[in-house]
Amino acid sequence: MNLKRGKILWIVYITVVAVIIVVIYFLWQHIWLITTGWVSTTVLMTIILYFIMNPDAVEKWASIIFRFLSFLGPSFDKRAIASYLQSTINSFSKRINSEVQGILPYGIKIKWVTETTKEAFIKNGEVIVLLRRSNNEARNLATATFTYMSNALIPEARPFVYQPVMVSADLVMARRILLEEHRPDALVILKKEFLEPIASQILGVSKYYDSLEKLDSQGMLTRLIFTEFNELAGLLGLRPPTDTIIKETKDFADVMIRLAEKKPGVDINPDYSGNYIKTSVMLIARTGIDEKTPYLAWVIRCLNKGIEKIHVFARGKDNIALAISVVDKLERKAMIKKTAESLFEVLYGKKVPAIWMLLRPKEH
Amino acid sequence: MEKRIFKAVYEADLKILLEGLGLLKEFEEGKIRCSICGTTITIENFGALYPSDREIRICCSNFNCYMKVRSNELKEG
Repeated sequence: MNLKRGKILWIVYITVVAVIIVVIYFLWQHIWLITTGWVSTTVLMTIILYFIMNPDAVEKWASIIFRFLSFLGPSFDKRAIASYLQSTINSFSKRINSEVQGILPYGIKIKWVTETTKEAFIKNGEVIVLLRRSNNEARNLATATFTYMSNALIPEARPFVYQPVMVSADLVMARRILLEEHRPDALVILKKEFLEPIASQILGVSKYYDSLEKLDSQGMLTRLIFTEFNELAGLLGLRPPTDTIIKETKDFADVMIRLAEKKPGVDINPDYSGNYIKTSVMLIARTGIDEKTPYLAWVIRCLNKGIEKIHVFARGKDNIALAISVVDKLERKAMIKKTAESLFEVLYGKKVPAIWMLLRPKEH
Repeated sequence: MEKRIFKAVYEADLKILLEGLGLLKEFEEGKIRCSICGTTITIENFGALYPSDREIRICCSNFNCYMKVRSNELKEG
């Protein structure tokens, strides 16, 4: 029976592949007729190159094809679910790692378990999660993204981070995947089935979720908070988490949240100097007169205080230019070295370019 | 990029899996409860299966239950 079903599946596969080849051939012929051979070859090569360079995009297209064929049997539906979840999560983790390395260090591969015995299951010692049919894709997506985040987001640092902050960060990052995927249906499930029950059971999640969302919208969650947590984990190594360390992560997050939420004209001390985390934030904005001096003085003050890292943020073309110029001057004076940098966009009414640079004292 | 295996059971395969594990009868009779919160497990609230103390346990889809399963797994692992 299974053998016969397998043969049918292979016939369907071969038919689908053949149809795709025929369609590509006809498109090719069509392009050939209206353009020169050189142009059509370039177009085709670009498409092929794009798919080679973006295996997640191929997987996403495969998920659409498998979903379309899911009426043929559950094996197509399972492939549709697995391809969709894998491509969505893996492409997101690559994008986040391009912001800051090591935030989501691994992707996922879904392995379906159909039959097993009690002995084999106990011996393997692994958790098996239920995923629904592909017509319940929003629920599968919300479940898989949050499950993935709660395991893969800064995995080395997680045990040291204050739980309401960590869980809120998981939820904010899961929300970001769903927003980028344009899945309002999955966002509703994330809110109703994860955020609200968790917020009612873990004190502080509701407050931290809102605050970390604001930090994320300013590009500071991944670049500032996660960078510091990851470095903390690197410093602590295999040491067990203690209440003091966990409190330090909470206090650090609180200071950075106050800074991100400050009203214009209100001064907030941007330093955090704990036992392990010794960092400061420099938000650069043009003042019009003697623009570099206050920032240079600020960095000297930080270095004298024993601050080990300075995160520089600036948004808007003019402020970015000033930030680059300040950091350049500091580097030429051999006071600091820039160890990381990224250009990104933030929503500030409209999309505005922004920059983050991580500075360390020269001797480090 | 390294990829971690995420083991999953497809909704339509759940009965086959439970049968292989000798749990189908109990499941259909509504005798299986969430190992964390005690809720009766049905197809609607089925979360995950996991081994613990040489027994097979099932938790519901409440994420707090699932997180407890994962943290226990890490401690045991």
